[in-house]
Amino acid sequence: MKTVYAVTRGCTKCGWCAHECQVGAITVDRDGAHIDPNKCTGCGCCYDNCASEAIEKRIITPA
Amino acid sequence: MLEYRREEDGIVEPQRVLPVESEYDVIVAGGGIAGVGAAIAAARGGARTLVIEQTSGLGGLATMGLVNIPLDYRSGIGEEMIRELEAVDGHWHRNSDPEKHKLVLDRMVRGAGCDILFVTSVVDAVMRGNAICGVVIESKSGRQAILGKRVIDCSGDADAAYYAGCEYSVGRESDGYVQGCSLEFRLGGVDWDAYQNSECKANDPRWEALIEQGLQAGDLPYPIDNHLNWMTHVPGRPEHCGMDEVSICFAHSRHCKPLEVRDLTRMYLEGREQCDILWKFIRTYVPGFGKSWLIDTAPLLGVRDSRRVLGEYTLTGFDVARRAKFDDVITITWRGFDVHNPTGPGNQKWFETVIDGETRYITAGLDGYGSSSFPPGGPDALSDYLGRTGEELQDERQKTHYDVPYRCLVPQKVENLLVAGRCLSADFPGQSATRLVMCCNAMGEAAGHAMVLSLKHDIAPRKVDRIELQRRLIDAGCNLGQSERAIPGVTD
Ligand SMILES: Cc1cc2nc3c(=O)[nH]c(=O)nc-3n(C[C@H](O)[C@H](O)[C@H](O)COP(=O)(O)OP(=O)(O)OC[C@H]3O[C@@H](n4cnc5c(N)ncnc54)[C@H](O)[C@@H]3O)c2cc1C
Ligand code: SF4
Ligand code: SF4
Repeated sequence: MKTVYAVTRGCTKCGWCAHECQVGAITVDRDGAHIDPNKCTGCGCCYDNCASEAIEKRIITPA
Repeated sequence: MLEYRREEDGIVEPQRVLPVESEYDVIVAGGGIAGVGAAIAAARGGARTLVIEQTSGLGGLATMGLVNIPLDYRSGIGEEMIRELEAVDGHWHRNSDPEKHKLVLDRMVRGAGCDILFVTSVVDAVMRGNAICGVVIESKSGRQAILGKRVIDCSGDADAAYYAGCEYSVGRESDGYVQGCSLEFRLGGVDWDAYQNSECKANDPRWEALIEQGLQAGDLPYPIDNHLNWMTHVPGRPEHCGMDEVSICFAHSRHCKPLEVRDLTRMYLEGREQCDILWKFIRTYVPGFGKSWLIDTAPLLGVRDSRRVLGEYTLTGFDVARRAKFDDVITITWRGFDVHNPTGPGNQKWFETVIDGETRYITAGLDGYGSSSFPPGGPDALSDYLGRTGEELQDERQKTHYDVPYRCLVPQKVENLLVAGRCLSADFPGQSATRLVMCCNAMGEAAGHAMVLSLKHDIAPRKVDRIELQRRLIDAGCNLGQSERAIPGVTD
């Protein structure tokens, strides 16, 4: 089981999450923020700091 | 009874002796979030400190203004404050419970040994030559004087600095208008999960389509703003019967003159009318808000900017865009531009300037595209500080922070005075970026420490050795960006 985070709803492109992420898993472009699930370590910093509560916690169970 | 004499251009005040109410080492004018940082740092440093606040609570906009979203870096006193909030279940994500926050600040400021005067306004400065040596106050106890060896102006409006004769600017360089002012409001009885999982949150998070619908249907008589600015969610706890609370930044007054009492009154009246229209609109249109009610509108109007004191350095929009670093850094911030349109609806995450005879619209990064009011030419007209546009535009914000230098807190000319918070020395776009709650708190903290050093060495605040100040700040747990780069003489 692994916890990852994903940008799911209502991103306002503020970019804060990308700044918070210590492993460079987040990029922000014109469409909003994107989290690379392969790089994400599941620390939760982006989740805690998104003022728009646009990031969702997901539990992934490997198939 | 004093006798007032009428003259052609006004009333002549008779000479009178003001009682000296008390004497302190450090007087902090204004108990907003900057004032709290200044007061705690000065008092803990051993200075006899008084904070004077015109409202009935500490925190300023962050509490009384219902701006319960303390963004930016957490370090030093700010970090401690968030921990104290968490200990009383008063902080989630980036949001604070404004009522709990007030109490936390009361306890922190009193715990530091600092005195407080509430419902007291600073109405003049007592000067000795070009040095400030006290303030005149007005309160239930009448008009009195309080003497202080040092004064830190954290009034947001730079009232003490103004009375002391500092130079300053107000508003946008082109026409002097400040940003739109917002009266915040708070709704209870919200089902946040229903909102989070709604189509609206997924597809129209800034409610642009909803506002359009409301306008068409006549439920919004005019576009008070063309998008939702922000919402802070304070989750339902048992004591709230499990129902969520949400503060909302939506109402706006324009063409504001926040230094004129007639216009302030206009904005409170207009703000409450707008909040009445907006919360009913929200209850009808926004999923999850169907059973919500209006808890309150803010007791303190959301004035984003007013006087900006002219200091030894003026932080500019370009400094923000290029993420400038300064040797005399006292705190760091991350924010880009955020200008609530002074004269019409919308929000501008860019500023206009002329480079080599050509008009440019500078943004700090991709957040420029998140504006709701664009320059002529639309989003494609935005450029970064080096003129790159479109796909080439660089998002400097994602790479690094920028510094607030000590010199932005040191007014030119007047001695024994520092300013901190939203009235720092900056140009209009620069101030729009540095005003976040935690950054204002950190500026206050730095000013408090600087005054302790200035008293200790018996020197003017402008003469304080920046290296000694920076070492002291780092020892107190402040983030000056030292992990990202060497600060000359301090960490190298
Ligand atoms: C509507 C709005 C939305 C915002 N949104 C955010 C956000 O999402 N996130 C974020 O981090 N920041 C936000 N900000 C910015 C932030 O809230 C402010 O910049 C910051 O709180 C300013 O703190 P301050 O202490 O410098 O000033 P203030 O909070 O203005 O404090 C000044 C204090 O001085 C008192 N005072 C004034 N004059 C006198 C006097 N003459 N005598 C005695 N007392 C006096 C006032 O009552 C007040 O308590 C927002 C601001 C506004 C207005
Ligand atoms: S912090 Fe939230 S709103 Fe901002 S870019 Fe990241 S996901 Fe989007
Ligand atoms: S959870 Fe941590 S590692 Fe994953 S994207 Fe967010 S900040 Fe980066």
